[in-house]
Amino acid sequence: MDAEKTANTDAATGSGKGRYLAVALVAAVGVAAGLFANKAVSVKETAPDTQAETKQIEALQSTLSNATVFPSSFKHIPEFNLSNHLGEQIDQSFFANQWSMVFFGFTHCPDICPTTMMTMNAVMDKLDTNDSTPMQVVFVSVDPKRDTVEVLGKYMNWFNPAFTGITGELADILKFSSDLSIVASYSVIDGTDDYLVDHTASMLLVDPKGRVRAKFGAPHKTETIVDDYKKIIKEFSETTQS
Amino acid sequence: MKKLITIIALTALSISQSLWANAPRVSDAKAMAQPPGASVTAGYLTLTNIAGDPLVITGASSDTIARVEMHESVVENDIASMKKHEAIQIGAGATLEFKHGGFHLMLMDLTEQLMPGSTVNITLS
Repeated sequence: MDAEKTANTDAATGSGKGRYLAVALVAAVGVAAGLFANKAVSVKETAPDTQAETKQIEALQSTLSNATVFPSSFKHIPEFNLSNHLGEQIDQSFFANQWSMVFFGFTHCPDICPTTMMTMNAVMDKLDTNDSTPMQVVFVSVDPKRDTVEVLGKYMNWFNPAFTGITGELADILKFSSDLSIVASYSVIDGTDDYLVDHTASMLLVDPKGRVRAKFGAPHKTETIVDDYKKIIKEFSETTQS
Repeated sequence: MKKLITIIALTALSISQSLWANAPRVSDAKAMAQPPGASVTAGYLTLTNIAGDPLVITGASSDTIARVEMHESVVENDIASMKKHEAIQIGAGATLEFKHGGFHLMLMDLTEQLMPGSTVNITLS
């Protein structure tokens, strides 16, 4: 037990490389996150098609109650090699041909992550019954040292076996996250070997071409997510056919 | 999918009610059933201070859970984090909700999975 505990601690927060790498990457993505938080979509210059897209996005944005829409050039799912919660290797093609709602968290998170899981369950129930465009729900663990395939597999199965959990090597997870301007940082709980992970609260909506088209900010509300999601995919459906 | 939502029904949480006059009123006490693999989960309740003086909660404990702490989920600048509170004051006549996305009891080092329908005793001091 002791040995196991030590190993976990070492790997995830404690000594060494894992922790420093995490901290460094958090610093590196800080600037990007600042841009990301900026609600206004930056639009100045202006090939004609960009102008048209800008207008389209502004019009769409004005109808949304929570989500922030991004232009198609904003960010792509990067190339990656990670594991799903079944232990299968997946790469960027996992995001092809389907809309995906992607959020970041960790299984040892007692409040926000399980609540988001349940919210997404409710969202999917509503979408199922309303014959909407299907969406895959993706939970990326930013605590891959504790969230092994086995742990994540049980966790996903508990909430919804149709959801996909993603884990992998810490460095790979952090690269994937930081490429998407997602922040994760780690803090030890005083007097324990345990630690908490602070992480970006927004969920990202990724289109069937792997482009990040919107973010949904916390607190996550079922009705708002469903309504905004429907409006966004309706507006973008023509430009996302592959 | 519906079945799963049922499984995640909240576990009952029984908060020991002290016998002193003006003891705070506790209602809606419940805990999140603990997902497999997780060693922590969260407890929620509503606490009303019916006394004429402020009430300060300085800790929580349980006979079956190794550690119970008072935490608050916070989202600032789009970063979700948790803050630990050593003490929480509730003004005279005021009500404080421990709820999703806010204050909650952090139930830690659970050795047995907290399943839907089970009950745990928690004492606030």
